[in-house]
Amino acid sequence: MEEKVDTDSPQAFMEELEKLQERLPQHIDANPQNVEKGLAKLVLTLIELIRQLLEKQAMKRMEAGSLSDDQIENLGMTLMKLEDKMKELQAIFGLEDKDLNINLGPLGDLL
Amino acid sequence: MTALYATYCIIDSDGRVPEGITGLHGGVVWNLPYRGIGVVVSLLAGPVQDIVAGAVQHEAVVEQLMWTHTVLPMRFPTVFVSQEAILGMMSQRYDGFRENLGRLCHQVEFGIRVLWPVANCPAAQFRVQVPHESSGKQYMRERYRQYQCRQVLSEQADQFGRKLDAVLSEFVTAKRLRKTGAGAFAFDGVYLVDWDKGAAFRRAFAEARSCEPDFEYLLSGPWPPYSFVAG
Repeated sequence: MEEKVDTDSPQAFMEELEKLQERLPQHIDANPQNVEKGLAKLVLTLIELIRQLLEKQAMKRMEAGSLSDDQIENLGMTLMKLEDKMKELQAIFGLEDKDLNINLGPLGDLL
Repeated sequence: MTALYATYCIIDSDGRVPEGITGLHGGVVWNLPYRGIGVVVSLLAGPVQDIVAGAVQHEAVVEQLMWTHTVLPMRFPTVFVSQEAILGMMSQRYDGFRENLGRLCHQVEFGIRVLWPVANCPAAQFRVQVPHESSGKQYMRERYRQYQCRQVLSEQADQFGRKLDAVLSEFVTAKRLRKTGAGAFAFDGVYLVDWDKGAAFRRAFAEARSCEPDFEYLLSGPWPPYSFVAG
């Protein structure tokens, strides 16, 4: 039992593991320069969670056929605008999609 | 400057550790005994500047000791200001350490990760962005298509995981499987395996891999039981 890693695709795994590493829990670096960004990350992550929950609920209702055409149109426009607004705010605070997450330790990632 | 003590792991012995193991800042590693067990420490001249190199050195100490002892890895960096402080910690957590050392005696950890076959990569299915000039209905239709893809992939991952896990479970003491959903990995789990069953576990893994050759596999270990220390 000496071999530590056995894979046919080291490059593919390196890439995926590097992505995971970017999501490792980080300390909150609260200083005057980045306190706004830290708060924005937290708030936008929570909004993104709510947006995803809304979208999931909408998908389930679409699947069940319980939405009328008008309701689908309205929901679609609402979710689309919400997504646009999120992108705008992310750009203002210099946040990428992968930044919007919170590591919950043994429970895994929030999103 | 006052000396600090870097701690690496708890071991199931109050005796000496093998010579020649180097800790942080090149410090000599030794065992500080406490009621039949011990905590492996080294002197630290000051703060660790290079965090990545420090973490690697910390893990290297633990991984060398796993060949001769049952180890409970400590988080990097766990630093104390005196031996009295370390012994105070040992006194407070002694029962938990004993329980973990008993449960993890002669056990090592293996990690298994499996990537989807390239042709079935989930990322490829979600790549299409919804055009933003589209109507609400178009947006919802595209989202619904992606939602269905995720559902299918999640079910496929569950099925694949159940099959792989069934083959490996025969050789393991405990396991932790992470829900992969429709993410990059089709399977992601860690297994606690008795030292004596390590070779059989590897063989079972190799056989499972040959049955589903389109997926991409990574087996790592043996490691100290990082994922199975409780409390």
